[in-house]
Amino acid sequence: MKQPSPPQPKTIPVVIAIGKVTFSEVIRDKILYNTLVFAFLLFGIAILASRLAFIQPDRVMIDFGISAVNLSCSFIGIFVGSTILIREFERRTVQVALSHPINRMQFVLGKFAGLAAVIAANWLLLSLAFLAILSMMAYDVAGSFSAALFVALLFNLIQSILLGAIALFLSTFTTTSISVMVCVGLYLIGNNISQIRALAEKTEFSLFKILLKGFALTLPNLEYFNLGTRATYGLAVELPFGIAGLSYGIVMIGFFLLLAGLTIQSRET
Amino acid sequence: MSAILQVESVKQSFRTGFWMTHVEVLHGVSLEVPKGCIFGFLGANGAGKTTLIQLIVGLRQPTSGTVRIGGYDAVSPMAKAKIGYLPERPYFHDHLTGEGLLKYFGTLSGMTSSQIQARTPKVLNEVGMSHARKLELRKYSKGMLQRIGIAQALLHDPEFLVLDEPMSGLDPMGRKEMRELILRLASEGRTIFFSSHVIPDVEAICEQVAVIQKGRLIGCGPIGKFLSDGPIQTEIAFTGLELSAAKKISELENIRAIPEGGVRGIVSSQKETTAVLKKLLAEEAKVLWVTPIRPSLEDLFHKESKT
Repeated sequence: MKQPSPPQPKTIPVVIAIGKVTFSEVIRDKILYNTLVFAFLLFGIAILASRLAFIQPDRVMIDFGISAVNLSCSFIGIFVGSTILIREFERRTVQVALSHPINRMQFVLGKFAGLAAVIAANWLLLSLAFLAILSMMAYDVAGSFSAALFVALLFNLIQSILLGAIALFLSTFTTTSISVMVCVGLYLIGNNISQIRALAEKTEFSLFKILLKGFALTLPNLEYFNLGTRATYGLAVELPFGIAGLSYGIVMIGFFLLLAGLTIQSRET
Repeated sequence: MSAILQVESVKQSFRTGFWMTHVEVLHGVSLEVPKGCIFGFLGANGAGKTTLIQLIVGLRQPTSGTVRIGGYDAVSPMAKAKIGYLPERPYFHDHLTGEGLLKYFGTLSGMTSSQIQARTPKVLNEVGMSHARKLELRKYSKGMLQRIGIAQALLHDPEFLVLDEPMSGLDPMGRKEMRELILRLASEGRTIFFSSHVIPDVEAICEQVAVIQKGRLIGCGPIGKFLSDGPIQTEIAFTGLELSAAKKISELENIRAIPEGGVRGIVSSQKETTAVLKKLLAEEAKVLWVTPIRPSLEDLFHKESKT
């Protein structure tokens, strides 16, 4: 006979609680600080390169700055995303958590929330640092601060969180090192999908053509988050492009989290 | 008395090795834990204790059979809400403080912030950890980790506590305190299921016992039944009869002199006790004590293990 059961926890407080613990755990991680140092080094190179540039010094600085934020946040997404969930299983800290009335999907969402918060904090810090450097060092301060620059930075954040979600998913069924390698590969390929399409058009081997087109179709297209010269030259960003990038990011993040939630069900504690 | 835990014909197998062959670690285990009792779960290392406990707390699903907590499937949130669990080695996020850990697990149990705040000092006080509430877990000793582990298991006031080897790694004083804590928690009306391979710990506090060996339950029931099943011996001590004369009484075994004078010996059955006492009185010996020696659970465990 079934006996009365106490009330069950709601998803949002559970996700926030797991996210907070994850955030406070990751901010103690050395890899975070190494990546931050790397980003600040790139900022230094950006200043140096802009001083050495013969024309458009401010554009050089913007290019380097956006790339520094992009690389740092993406690597944090990949490296932390590859370890954040699986470490719970390896250290068995997951056992007590899952003995509580929560399901594994809630746990995955909580870990992801913590990861997203870490990436967002890193992104905010670097973006503010970059904007401060730009405001101090740019020859044409007003001309450097365009809407496209802010959209590019925002898209850096979305791309990094997406890479984190992919790394999180991969880590549910493979090792950390494979997860990192695949994610770095996806980062490189995903930012060059149009090149793959162009190569597919040029190639004469039909099997290779199909293969390349298949890659271009199925692999995450990170070019949605790449404003390219629009950010560098402060050109207008069309609303459909912005909405498409945002929607694509949200859908893909949701998709990979769903996959992670499904694959983690069968993992041994 | 209704059962809070029902385990029926549970089998559990794992895939191991390159060919992923099935290895069965639990072979059709069935047991029931009545409400309100302290249930000891005994078994050697590798017998399958932790595997069964993980099934009970819903961390895995059995290959076949059912595990029910209060009538609910053990993996369901309704069942988990009734349980407080302390794993064998309490692995926690060591950057958290004692209070932070309780806040985290309290939220996972469905408690509100105000409920957690109200309950935290009580459970910390109950396990004697109030002084370390602000300390990071990385600075805790093994005994402190066990205690904070029990505090998190108690926080949502569950009616069923599952403790996997709660006394392992504790010093004698820590073991004694843990036994007292378990007895106190049981006196509050909770059902406690705890595993151990240390028989005296189970013998000292449990009302019901189950013994597992190589994935099979080889005994289960009230501890009194276990103990009464074994042979009951009696120790008889006396003076007024020399050691050499005492050795002529055939029913007396393990005869030895008492340092201050006198002789003691063991009689192996109740019937023979009467005969020995009659002989001693006939020899005008002065009987100092007649003490029944109940078999220890350890004796029974070893006997069962050999069969």
